[in-house]
Amino acid sequence: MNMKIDPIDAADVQSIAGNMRNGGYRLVVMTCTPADEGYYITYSFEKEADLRHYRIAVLEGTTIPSVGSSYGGAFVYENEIHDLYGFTFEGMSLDFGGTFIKTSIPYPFKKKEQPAPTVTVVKEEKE
Amino acid sequence: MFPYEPLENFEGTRGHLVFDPSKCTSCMMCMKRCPSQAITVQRAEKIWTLDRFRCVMCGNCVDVCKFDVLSMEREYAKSATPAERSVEIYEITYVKPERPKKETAE
Amino acid sequence: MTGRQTIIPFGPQHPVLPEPIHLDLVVEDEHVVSAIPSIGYVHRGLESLVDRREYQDFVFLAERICGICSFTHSSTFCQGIEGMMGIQVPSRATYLRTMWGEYSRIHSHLLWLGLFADSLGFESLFYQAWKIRESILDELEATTGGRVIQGVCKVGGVRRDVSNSFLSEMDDRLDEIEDEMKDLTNVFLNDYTLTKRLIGKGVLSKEDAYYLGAAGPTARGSGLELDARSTGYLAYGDIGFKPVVEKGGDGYARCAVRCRELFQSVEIIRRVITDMPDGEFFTAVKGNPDGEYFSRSEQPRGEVIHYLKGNGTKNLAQFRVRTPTLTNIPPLVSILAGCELADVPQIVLTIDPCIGCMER
Repeated sequence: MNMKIDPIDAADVQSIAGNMRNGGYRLVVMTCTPADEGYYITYSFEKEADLRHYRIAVLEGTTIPSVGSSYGGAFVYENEIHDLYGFTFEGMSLDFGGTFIKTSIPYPFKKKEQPAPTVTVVKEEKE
Repeated sequence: MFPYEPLENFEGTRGHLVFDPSKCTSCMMCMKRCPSQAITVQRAEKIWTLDRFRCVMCGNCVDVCKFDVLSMEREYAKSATPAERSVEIYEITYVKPERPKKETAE
Repeated sequence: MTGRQTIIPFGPQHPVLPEPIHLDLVVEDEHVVSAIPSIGYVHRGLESLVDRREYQDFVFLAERICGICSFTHSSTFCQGIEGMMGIQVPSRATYLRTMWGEYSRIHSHLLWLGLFADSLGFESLFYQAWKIRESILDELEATTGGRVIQGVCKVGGVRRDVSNSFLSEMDDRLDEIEDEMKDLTNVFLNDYTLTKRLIGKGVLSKEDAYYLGAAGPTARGSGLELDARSTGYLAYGDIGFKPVVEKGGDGYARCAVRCRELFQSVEIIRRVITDMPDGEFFTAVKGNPDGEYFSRSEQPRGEVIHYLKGNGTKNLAQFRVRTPTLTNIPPLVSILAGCELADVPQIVLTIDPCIGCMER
């Protein structure tokens, strides 16, 4: 499994996606993970057993250009990252405006000051 | 009457969990490793409880217990409605065996 | 056409859907112009439980993301942890995991064939498909202990072994199962009414399938040779593997891909049982996971990716699953544009929606 990840700038995302599209690569997945400062968003592309990863480092609340012009199917991942982490992508091919995944707490996967307790306390159910 | 024969499942099917109170040393490993938090152990009062509605019959507690206290039987667990939901309580009857006192060497 | 558009909700509750998904169909006089999906009915937030359970116990939670494709989720998760920590799994365990994975694939395709026949109104074919599925579930229960949720993978190998005499008995029972499946797939591929309703409906071109991100039989029915088993994980590297591909891109082609994959899985199981090596079936695991890893494998519905991140403690830092149904939604939106309203239920079912997996 190729785990080599190339860091790139957030402004270059659209041109790299355009190059991959011309080279015949398909978009595999977009992953968002919390890092020490802000978050990392990783784009994975593949063509016939050649798997590549590109990673951008962004702080909370930044606006990122969307790759929807090269890959029409990216709106699924971008809407999910918007609903769970709070990033804004501009130029999505299908924009749900925050209603793709409806949760009771807005942006549930953001980093919190108080981390969740490691053992869930089981409440007594009253009949 | 249909079905004519009762259903037979297989040896090794994970049907329901069985607890043997006479061997449990209250080490609390089954409580820590249960993925659905169905088991609670109270060491001071010597009580072991199981919530059968939460148990998913995964068998992790059987693998983790070092004293052969827990085992899986092959009959499927009986169904029940939420109104009958209760926690099964067992009293631990294990008595730690006395070690023979070592004779001090002269 | 009058040019006035109506919006018809294809609701979360519908007789053909096994799990809830909502589509807003924009319709002009019975031709569908576009479709807008809306998900989130089964979102349970399983990924956030990862900081509350140890990594070895989390296998049981990863299994319960979905009921139909549960074995592949647990096997991919174990593969990810083993890759991150550098654990070498004994070859008997990899061959056993391959065998159970292929049985799981046969049971999932038979389940889909039954639901598909039911959506077309052919209920007796639904019963026949699920009757064959019962004999597969008996095999799984006898060897692993559970019919639907197997619970047999663990980090470092598998939890129980299968004796060689039992394996040869399974090989003999496969002949009878294969004959029954031949009769069943003959009806799906050659019956007059089914061919009239499936050929030419819901076409996905090869170019669209590749760049919109189709996976699994949805992509292979349009002529793409995309299959994660070609990368050679588990025992597929030793056995050698070639994906089943159909040109045509319509509902009939996707149904034919799944029918042919049933027989390919039977061949793979026979080969695995003949070549099964002897030895241990698990290794001991010490230490904690640290680093990150992308683990890929082939579910019955397509390619699934698990992203795992460890930070040196007993709990993982992050766990993310990208299931094939999530990446098949854009091709579904493009197929539905331009079809007739009466064909919408079976077209939605041809991508094999597993919504429980999609919104873990």
